[in-house]
Amino acid sequence: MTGEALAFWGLAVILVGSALAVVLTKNLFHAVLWLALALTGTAGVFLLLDAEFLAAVQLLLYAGGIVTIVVFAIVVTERLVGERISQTSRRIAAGAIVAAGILAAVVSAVMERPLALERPPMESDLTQIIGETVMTRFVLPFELLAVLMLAGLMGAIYFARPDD
Amino acid sequence: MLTALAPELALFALAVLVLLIGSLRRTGRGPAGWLTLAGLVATFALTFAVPEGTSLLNGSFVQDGLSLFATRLFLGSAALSVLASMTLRQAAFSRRSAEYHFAVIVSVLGMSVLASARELILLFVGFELMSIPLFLLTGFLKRDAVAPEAALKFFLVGTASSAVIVYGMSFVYGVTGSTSLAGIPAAMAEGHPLMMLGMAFLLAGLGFKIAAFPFHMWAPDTYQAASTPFVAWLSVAPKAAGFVAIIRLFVEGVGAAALIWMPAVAVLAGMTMVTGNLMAIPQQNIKRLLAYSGIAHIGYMLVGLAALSSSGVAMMLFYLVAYTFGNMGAFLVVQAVAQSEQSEGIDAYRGLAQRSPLLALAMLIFLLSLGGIPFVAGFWAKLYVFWAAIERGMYGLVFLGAIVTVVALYYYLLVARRMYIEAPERPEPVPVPGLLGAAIAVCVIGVVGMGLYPAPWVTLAMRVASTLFS
Repeated sequence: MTGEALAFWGLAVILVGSALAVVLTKNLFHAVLWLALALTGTAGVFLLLDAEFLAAVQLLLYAGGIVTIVVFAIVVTERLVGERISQTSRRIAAGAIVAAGILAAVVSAVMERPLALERPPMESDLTQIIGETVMTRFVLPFELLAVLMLAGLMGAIYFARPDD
Repeated sequence: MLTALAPELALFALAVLVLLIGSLRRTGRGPAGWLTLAGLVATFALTFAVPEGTSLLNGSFVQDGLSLFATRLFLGSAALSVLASMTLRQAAFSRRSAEYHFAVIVSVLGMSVLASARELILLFVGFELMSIPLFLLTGFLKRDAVAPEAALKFFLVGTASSAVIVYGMSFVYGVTGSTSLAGIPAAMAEGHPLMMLGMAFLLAGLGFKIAAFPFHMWAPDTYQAASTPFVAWLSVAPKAAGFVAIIRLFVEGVGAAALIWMPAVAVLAGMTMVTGNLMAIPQQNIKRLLAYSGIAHIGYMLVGLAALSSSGVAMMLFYLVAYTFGNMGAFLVVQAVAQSEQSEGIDAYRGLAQRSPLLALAMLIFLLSLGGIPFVAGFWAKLYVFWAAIERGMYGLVFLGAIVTVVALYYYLLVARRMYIEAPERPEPVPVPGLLGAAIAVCVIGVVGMGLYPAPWVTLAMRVASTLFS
């Protein structure tokens, strides 16, 4: 087994295990910590694929930003409600069946017609290329995301502000 | 180059303007509503200046017949909804008028981008830009007992379906190696199993968005809790946007390879028609009744889509317009009655014909159109989609559709019976605010006009659909 394959399977175990822990833990706070591990594992997959920029963004935005916000939300909500909130995952059986079905579908599809394994040639400076693509070919969705953020912020403020 | 983007740029400018004006004044309703209405109407006119067939960014953004047709539908229906929502009495709508209208405009912007997107990332951003303001608008009465809960449900279902859509897109990208929709027809014809899986995910995610069976559960709760003039629009425009996305992904340029989806869409259509119509019968709340009947109408439109032919898609587009006028009109009458009676029960319609004959007549026309009675728009709409399905030999589906149409007439006429046969509980007429009356009048003209003279709409729909199959 090559080092790459070894790293991949290691990450896979961490990813699947922590993702399962997110939905199965009763303690909401622990679930967030498992989520942070899962998101960090995803960054590891990006690293393995030579996408350093994406890995950094993944760590900063998701493992850093999103997890912090979720922790804040839990703490604030628990103070408002005045009790510990625990996670209840109902219909685990139904979820397991759906997940198993999708897994079977994906695995059988890949077995039937394997995808190309060789990697496309890597450009020298990926970060620069990402920047250029975002400002040229994908400039329209990029700008629209700014409008989306404005709308999202306004919605959040609308719900959060007290009535005057 | 920017002419292709003109309607979108105009909508963005309008959104910013409305927000700025709203931040300047803090008392009373302010001009946000009228400004939005004028802006939407002006943008509607502007769409006629956009040359058909222009495209931007390597064809990832196109202004073709379909996108202009859909954009006009979004703008027109939004204008009607804004006109009617200016008569809302709750304080939130006047105090937070700028926020309300900003959200409406941004959502319309998202829909119009979605209709023009020929690229997966733009398509998805358009979807989110459309959906996120809708969650806000659903829960706009944030101190209300039910609105925030309905908004949260709608949000959870909406984000979950978006996740399913992105998951499906990742498969499509993995197989085609490009985010452009232009690569889909070849990959579909080649039939890679991962491609089929991805497209199945996309169909499921979009099924949530248009509230097709079995993804329809969110619609009645959301409709019941949100403000009625907004629901009138919510029940038509995002559905139309979902259908446009389905056409772009599954029909446009795909040709004969699309036919493998025919059984799946046909089953979805049949189940949606049956579920919507059967669930509508026991409803005592008129908004829930219209929600389930709306689900049934999505089923009828899916019949047109299942034909996967030029005439099928054309008739589905015709159906969309007829449904827009009929369904919006019915919801606007509901708003008038609910504001006067403080009740959304169907019993509030007792003796409406004696109290307010014109309002009752308008409601009757809308119900007959939704039911598919001759000489109003809905009749032609149903006839045409069934016709398109028969051309493809889908006799079973059309037979099923005809049966549930009779079932639908039963619950529409239950409301009509309360209006025309039962005695009123109170003698005084239902007051209809002028602007709401104007919006209802536009819907009546649309429904009756399309019913008496459907030819120009049919020609337009045929022309738009024919470009998708060339």
